[in-house]
Amino acid sequence: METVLEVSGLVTSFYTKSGEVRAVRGVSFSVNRGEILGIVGESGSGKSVTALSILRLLPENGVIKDGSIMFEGRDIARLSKNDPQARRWLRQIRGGKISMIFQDPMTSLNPLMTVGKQIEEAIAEHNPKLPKHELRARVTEFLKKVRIPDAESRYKAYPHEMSGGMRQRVMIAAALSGGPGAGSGPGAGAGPQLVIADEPTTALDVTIQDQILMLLKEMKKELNLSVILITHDLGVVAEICDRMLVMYGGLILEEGLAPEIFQTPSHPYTLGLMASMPSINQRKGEALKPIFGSPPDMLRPPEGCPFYPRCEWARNICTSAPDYTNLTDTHRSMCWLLSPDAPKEDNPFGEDVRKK
Amino acid sequence: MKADTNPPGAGKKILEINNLCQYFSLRGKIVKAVDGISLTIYDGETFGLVGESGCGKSTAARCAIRIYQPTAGEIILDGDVITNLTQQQLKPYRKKMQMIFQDPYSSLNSRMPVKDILMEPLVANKVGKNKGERLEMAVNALESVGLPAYAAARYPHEFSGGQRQRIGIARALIMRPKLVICDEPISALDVSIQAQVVNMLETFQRELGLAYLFIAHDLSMVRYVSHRVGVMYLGRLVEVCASEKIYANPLHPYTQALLESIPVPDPEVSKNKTSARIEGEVPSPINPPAGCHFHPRCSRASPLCAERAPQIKDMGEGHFVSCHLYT
Repeated sequence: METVLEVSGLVTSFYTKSGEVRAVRGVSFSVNRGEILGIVGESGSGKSVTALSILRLLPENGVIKDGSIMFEGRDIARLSKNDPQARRWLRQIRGGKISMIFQDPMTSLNPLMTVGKQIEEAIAEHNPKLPKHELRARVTEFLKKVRIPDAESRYKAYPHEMSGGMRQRVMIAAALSGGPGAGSGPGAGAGPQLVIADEPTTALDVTIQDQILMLLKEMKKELNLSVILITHDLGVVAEICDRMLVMYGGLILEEGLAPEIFQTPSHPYTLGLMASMPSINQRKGEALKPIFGSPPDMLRPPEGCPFYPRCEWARNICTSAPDYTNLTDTHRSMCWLLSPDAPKEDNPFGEDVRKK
Repeated sequence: MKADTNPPGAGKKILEINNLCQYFSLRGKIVKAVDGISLTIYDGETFGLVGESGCGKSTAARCAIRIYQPTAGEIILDGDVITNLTQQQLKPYRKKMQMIFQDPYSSLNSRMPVKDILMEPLVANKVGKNKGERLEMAVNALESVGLPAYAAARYPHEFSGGQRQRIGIARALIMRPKLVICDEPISALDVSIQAQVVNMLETFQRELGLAYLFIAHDLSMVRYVSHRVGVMYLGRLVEVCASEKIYANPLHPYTQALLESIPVPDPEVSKNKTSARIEGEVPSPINPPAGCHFHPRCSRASPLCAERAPQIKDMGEGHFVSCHLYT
């Protein structure tokens, strides 16, 4: 399997008035060609900061302190802002090779510009020599690709004239159409290889969410795209993701193929997340099992496992950081309960999970 | 709380709305935000109201507790008709119905300490003899939602989203209401916190015999918390049913599509899914389709659906549906 992006040991912090917010504290993962990788976590888990770090879109006070982000043989994390060549490469990457879809399509589109012009801008940035009529043809091609009805006339529509679902389609069109050779026009070839979608359906109604998720799935297949899908909704992950990472307190607690994690969740936090949601068969009257407490303050994250203050199986050892235990070639989890010396009694992960 | 559904006719009616309409005028056009809905909520019952954004569920709820003056219809709260009461006349009724809002950030005044936020409804309704007694009630309310007494002196920004939502709940419950309108009370919260809030609402219902009108777009959560569920589409109620039955036997094509659109947290279930369950989007309420509002998106629509709006029909056992397939 071809690796498109490889993140290792990423540490990102924000410097604020109250101190250093340690948003991402050592995250390693890779993205394969043609897969949808889900990153699940609650607010403050570091999932969005990981995404912003990949494109170097952190605000002024955000710093990548350690680690590497390897893409096309170069390290995005190490690019110097003062090196003009590095900056040029970063511009080519942003929207050309790696593009991003944000949560709220209303605030990420320019309200004073027609949607067609905005997509055109993304294409022109990476294809300065493309003549105007070809630019326009490519915009229409992508509006059609994302199933916007009446694509030719929608070119002239402003974002406020469209519904939330249509605006998110426009965002997807813009994300896919950049790159030197996206689409079928002259010089066609390589469009963006990786799309980072940060909660792309959170602001949408379920029926529209369903449509957008299916569109992403089709686009992935058609263009052999890799997608990083950031979400807090396990249902969304189950729906379209091939692999998933579970993040909490700036760390990846569990990683694996989506079916693996749903069948044998192997971290107490993942178990807790699943128990907090009503299942299809859950009857009224059976209380939901919430995770008590609240997520950690990243100004002072807990020592060791970030989840232990809320974990019902926490022991003394949890104040020192556990290593990952490999459960299969693709499935790993960071929890002391999986170590060979873990107690046999009162352990949610039986022998079968640990030996798997 | 009883696990089974409150059968219609059982228990006392706390809220009854009949043929409620709420029209707004917008640049000379009329928006029928709520177009003739009728429903009843019984004592101690949770009635879930679901639908996509713009379907009128929040407007209907706001109308029901007279934040708006309804265009037509009748609202009966605890046996009294309150449809056309003045704000002054409504005051005693306000104690019986309270509201919990979606956004725990904008629904608490950021310049007031928590104790003032909680004491404001007491002052407004002249509950409690003096300041000391009101403060005691505020502290008790805070403790009942699991917050420490010292939280009373703090300001909303010092709390997390989940804690703020608890303050919102404490504010609603301090008046000892009989009916609480919950307008998307958990949508803004993290998954692990949602369950905390839902369990807390259930505990209060059990202990105080509260009735909830629970509005949400998350059908799986609504089904879980509610005894009965009503589904709205473009200002009309299309189906009302016991919450267990809505999964087992949804009758209206819109309810069916809505249920199938919910992402299921099980890759085995969803891996065969290749296309969206429902095409198109909710049309504009300014100029809704004639006949059944849902017919342009409905896979089972017939010519009749475009001509005439279906009447709501009793299918037995408290199951009501408004669709020509069943008439």
